[in-house]
Amino acid sequence: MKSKRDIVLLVALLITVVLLLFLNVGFVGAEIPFSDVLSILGGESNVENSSWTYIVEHRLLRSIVAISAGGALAISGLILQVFFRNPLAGPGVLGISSGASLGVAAVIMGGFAQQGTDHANMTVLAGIAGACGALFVLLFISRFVKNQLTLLVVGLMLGYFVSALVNIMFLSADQAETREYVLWGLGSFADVKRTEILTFVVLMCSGLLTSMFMSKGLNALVLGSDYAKSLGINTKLLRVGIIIVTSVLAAGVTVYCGPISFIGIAVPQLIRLISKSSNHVWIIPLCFLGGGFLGISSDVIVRFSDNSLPLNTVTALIGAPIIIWTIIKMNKSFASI
Amino acid sequence: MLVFNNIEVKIADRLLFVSRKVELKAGVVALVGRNGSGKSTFIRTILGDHELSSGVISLDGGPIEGYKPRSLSKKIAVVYSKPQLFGDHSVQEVLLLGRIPHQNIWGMNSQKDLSLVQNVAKNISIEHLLDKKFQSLSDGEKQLVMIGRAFCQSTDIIILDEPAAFLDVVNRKEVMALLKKVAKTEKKLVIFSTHHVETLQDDCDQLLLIENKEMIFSSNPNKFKELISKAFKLES
Repeated sequence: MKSKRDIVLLVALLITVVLLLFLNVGFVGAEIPFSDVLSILGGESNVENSSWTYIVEHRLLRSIVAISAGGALAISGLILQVFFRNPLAGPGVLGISSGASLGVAAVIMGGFAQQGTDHANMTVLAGIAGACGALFVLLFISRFVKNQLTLLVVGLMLGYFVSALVNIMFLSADQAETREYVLWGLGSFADVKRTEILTFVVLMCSGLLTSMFMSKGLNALVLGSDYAKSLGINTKLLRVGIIIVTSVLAAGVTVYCGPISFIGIAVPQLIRLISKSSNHVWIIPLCFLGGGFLGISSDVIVRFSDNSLPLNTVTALIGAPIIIWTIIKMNKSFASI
Repeated sequence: MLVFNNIEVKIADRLLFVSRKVELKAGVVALVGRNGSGKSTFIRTILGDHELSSGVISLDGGPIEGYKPRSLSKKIAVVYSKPQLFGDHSVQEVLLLGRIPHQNIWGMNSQKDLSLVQNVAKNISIEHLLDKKFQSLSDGEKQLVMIGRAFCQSTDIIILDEPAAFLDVVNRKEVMALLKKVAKTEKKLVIFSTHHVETLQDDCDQLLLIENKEMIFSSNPNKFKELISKAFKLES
């Protein structure tokens, strides 16, 4: 049966991701013996304290962030692709990540950073607001633009427009603020603090769960909104769910890790090619693990380069060829674009 | 099955048509009217997407507004003129989409769903297409599959909005024969809107004609031609 194949795929991906997690925590850039890593994680206290912080903060936390951020971007991309009926849609292309960036830029360079001691929460909210804003602008324009390809161009323009606004903000920002924003823009899984990690993971996992509950609606939505409605789907509710889930996932990742490109588009395409199922109950978790795989692989590469390669460079190097390859391959199967 | 009781259909403030009491029974019903006369709006009204400005449409005894989307989807299936699908689905998977109203929240296909799909495919002779990709089919085959998908929904009523608009003569005939067969053997009510009025007396046994802001009903196929010629002011 088809679902058997998907279970195998799911388990295989899970094992790979866990192995990469061990690799990333235990070995990469290692000056600490692996046995020490294990005993540190096991809670033994006879190892030096600095090692503990190093392992946990610099390896375990960023690995967890890498997996959940990659997974979140992939799900966000998958849902947007079904919603806009376009295999090239994704949080990056449609300007949703840019919207989040605008929120972040406003907080970093708008002077909030100096006044407040902790501006993390504010950044998160501003980021989500920005992402939702971008999605609403896009939905509004999509009423007038019927051609899906044109809508992608609109999304790209939205992105350029936002970066122009950010550039204007640079004029009034001081050096420290500018530096903070530019560094954030390069992308990194290492910047989520220990105090924030729980919020981050909970945010991402609730996005995953909510989207799982939308699978039946997404299954029906492949026939278009009218057909979905005739199949008993509450399309209004589904639409609201899609907007919230995709914005929260994309914005959450963007705020904490920077505007990470390519994972959101590339993973759903790969999963659709590999998986034989058309039921989103399978495709969503597969995409999450696929995104997690790409996320942590990129992080392993970043750390192999001694953190000198920016994350976005790595995701582009991996993601762009995948996207071009799939465009060529699926030219036939998505006749409608 | 489906009763229209003194209904009045409007878009914003513009009156499209009114209708006296009409009761539709199992069989094939053609919905005919000129462009803009309100056929599509009427279909949307039956599906609960557009509100009547007055009157009642009742389905199996209850007003249509009282149905939740899910229960309505177990009563009425719909086919639009242009099949559209996003994704790389096989024909079997497209047919299975018709089972969504009967599935639980995870949308898993049961053994019953699979055998029902198999049966429908056999009935409408598209068994050989089951494993093919939907996107690789011809327009005629695609529309047949979409009609099959509506059959898989296991509803008493099937509404088709110009199902044959993009089909050639041969395919159109095939679709019409299929609808007739299903209405007869499974006691379904099949309503389709169309502009092909030449062969109506063979295609259907009831007629809903929207003319001069009024919907007229006839269940006498011998009179169809006359009614339509009069309505469209055609020389016969």
